[in-house]
Amino acid sequence: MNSLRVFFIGGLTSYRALFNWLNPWAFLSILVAYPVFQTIYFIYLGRTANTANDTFFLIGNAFVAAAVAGLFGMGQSIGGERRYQTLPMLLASPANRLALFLGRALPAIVNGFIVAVLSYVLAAAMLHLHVPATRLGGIGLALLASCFACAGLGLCIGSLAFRARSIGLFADTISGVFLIITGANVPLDRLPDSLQTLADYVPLTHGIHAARALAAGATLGATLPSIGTEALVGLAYFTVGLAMLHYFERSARHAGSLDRF
Amino acid sequence: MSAVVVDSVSRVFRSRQGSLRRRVAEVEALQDVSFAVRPGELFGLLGPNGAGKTTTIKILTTLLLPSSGTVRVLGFDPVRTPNEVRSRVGYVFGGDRGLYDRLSALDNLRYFADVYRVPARRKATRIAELLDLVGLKGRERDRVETYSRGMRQRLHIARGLLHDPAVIFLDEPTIGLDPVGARELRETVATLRDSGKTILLTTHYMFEADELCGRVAVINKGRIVAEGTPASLKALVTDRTVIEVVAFNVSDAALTAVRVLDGVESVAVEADDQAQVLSVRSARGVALIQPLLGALTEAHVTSVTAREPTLEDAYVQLVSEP
Amino acid sequence: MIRAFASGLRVDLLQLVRSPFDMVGMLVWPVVFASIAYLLLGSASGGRTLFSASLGAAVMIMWGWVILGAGFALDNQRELGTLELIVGAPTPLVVLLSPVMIARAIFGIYGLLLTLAWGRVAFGIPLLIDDWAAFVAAVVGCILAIGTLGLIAASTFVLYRAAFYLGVSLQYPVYIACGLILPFSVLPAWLGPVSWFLAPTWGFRALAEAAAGQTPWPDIGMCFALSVVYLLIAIPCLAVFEHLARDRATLKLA
Repeated sequence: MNSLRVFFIGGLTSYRALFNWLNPWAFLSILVAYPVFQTIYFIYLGRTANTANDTFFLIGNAFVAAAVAGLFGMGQSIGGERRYQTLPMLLASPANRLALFLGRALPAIVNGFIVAVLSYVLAAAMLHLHVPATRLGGIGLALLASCFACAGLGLCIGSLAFRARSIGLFADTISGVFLIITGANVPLDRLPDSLQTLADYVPLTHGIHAARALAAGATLGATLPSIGTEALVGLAYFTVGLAMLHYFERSARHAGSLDRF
Repeated sequence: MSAVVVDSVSRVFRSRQGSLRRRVAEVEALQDVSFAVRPGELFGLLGPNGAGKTTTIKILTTLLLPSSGTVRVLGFDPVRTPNEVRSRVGYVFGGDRGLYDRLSALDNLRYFADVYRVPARRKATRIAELLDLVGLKGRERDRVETYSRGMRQRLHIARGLLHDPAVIFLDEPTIGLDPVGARELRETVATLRDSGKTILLTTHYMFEADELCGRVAVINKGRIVAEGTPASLKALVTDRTVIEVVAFNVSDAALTAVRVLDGVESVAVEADDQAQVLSVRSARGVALIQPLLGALTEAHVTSVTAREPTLEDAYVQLVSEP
Repeated sequence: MIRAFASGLRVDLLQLVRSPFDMVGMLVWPVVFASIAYLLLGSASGGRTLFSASLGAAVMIMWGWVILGAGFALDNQRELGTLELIVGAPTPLVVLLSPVMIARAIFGIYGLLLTLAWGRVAFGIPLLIDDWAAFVAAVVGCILAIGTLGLIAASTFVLYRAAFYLGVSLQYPVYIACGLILPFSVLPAWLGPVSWFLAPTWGFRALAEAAAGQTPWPDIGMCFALSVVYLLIAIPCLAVFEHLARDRATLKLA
């Protein structure tokens, strides 16, 4: 029961405590305006290059917006504890570690989903683009899987708080690289082979692929393998992230360096 | 003419509370505050946390505007002619902040010397003099992030004196320093006082005010509650005796019993390592000792002393009054 | 005042160079923007088009660093406790804050070099600069114009911490409005006149025209002229916002 409380309520409380995004100005600027205008920019760039239709960039950048929320959100949920020097208190507590850290993933996933939907809808409205209503459920499922995957990667980034001060640097770098290697703005077949291989193992790639297929008329059944792969990618990152947390915590306790956090 | 004049100054802070239904909360940080500081005087402003000391200093150093009242520093108005005030005052605040950590002490001082318009031909000499004064000579090329708290504080003082201001505002300069560091800083402040600078010092360390200040004002909840020399403030409580009891395991019930003893005016409790030090003020003098010990039978008392009241006792009385 | 400006520029550049966060973070985005441009515009475009795109990417970086840097720098000053000290100094705030913007715009040279180097190494795009003297003048004009535009934004950050968030959201609208890597033919017509008032428009044109050996000097002139205009706007803005910050006690975080 305590673990459930730590998971849900503790997760939400820490999310609120460590985020500026509940400040409406921060939320509107960083998580709404920024991704919307980023999407519009790349749609125009796509029109310049004549590489793909507008929906290609609309979907790709909406998913990247979800990634930003997930990566920074999860990264900050642990990195922020280090900044405010509350990490030792948490680690000295008897709270279940899975509940403690995974609880923070839920608000990050929900936040990412909301941000992506807002980005998609607002950018489409501003450019008078048609949003295919019939496939929205399937696209939503693909988006959810991608949000889950990004939260998993965010957990890995957050665990680096035990070692590095600036988690934001990692999250910022990855969110920039995601613009390219996930196929969000550049068709995957234009990338070098090595990057195409890498794309299979990062969040967003499979989710974006599924969402674009659905928008082009594919059935949900046909895209479930991609959505499932995206969820598996997320599971893998969560597993790695939890392992990293466990390892870093143990080595910090061994070295007696927890109070330096 | 006074160097600093504060006349009926008030300052109200407004903040918005709540996320859905926002309401405006008002806090009166200063209410009708008036005092004056003579040229060459070291004037103390005492008060507990949140009393309004820093708010007062920020108004005097042009960083904050008063809601009402008038202020003059060396005859200039910090509200209307801030630059005239800024070029004539120095501001030093306690704590770790106020320096560029990634730069050396020398780089910090050079930058602030330019910002505070120290003449180019005087800059190097002035920096060297100040590094010597504050005891940082030889460490000036080290990055500030490697400095201890005491060193940072001394660097702060050096920074605040670069342009040789006539008036210096020191806002809790010894806060967080170890006893040796704090004593060295007080010696520096005393040297500045003796050199003729006008200094306004805020502190909540009573012995510091007692040692350094010619006159003191006590501020509490935004109001000046007393003003005078340390001796005159102590005189407010000379008809009282303070009985100090050092004890272990003093329960809340025992403390309550002490407070309600006949003749007890105030009880201040401080922790001293693992013991508690009760300072009980009363007009009954040593006659209170027996009933006091009676109220503390369950505690382990290790010493009892009766003493004359200090400035701290006067301060406690002044800030405890409703 | 010149001494205070130069001193401030030195302090800011030193702080930037000594921040691993800033230095490493600055590597990523030039590579990202340039790569997207090259990969999308691709082999169908000529070397001149791609080189022009890389200049556009460099100007994007410069604007992004200035507008974000302005917010971060002021937030950093608040955290360090030095914002109050510089506001409380007798030197005008415009002299003390403009180095913050100019330092970041100067780092735009690093972004420019990185973008061009990446284009050369990863995509084989040759360095096509026909008029080097004009190009250097264009770089200087670009830095001044973008830096002083950032100063207007920074004046709001003195008062409102939330203004930083507005700065974040202004990155892409400016990229779009100025047609950076985007031809105006794909953009709404009404953006054309808007772009005339924005520094990155003229900065990019100056660089592209100088590189192509065309007529960059009117564009370079516009950069310098806009710098003066922005400065004339920033000075009263800073005075007003400083006064309001002193009234509302927003110079300090806590």
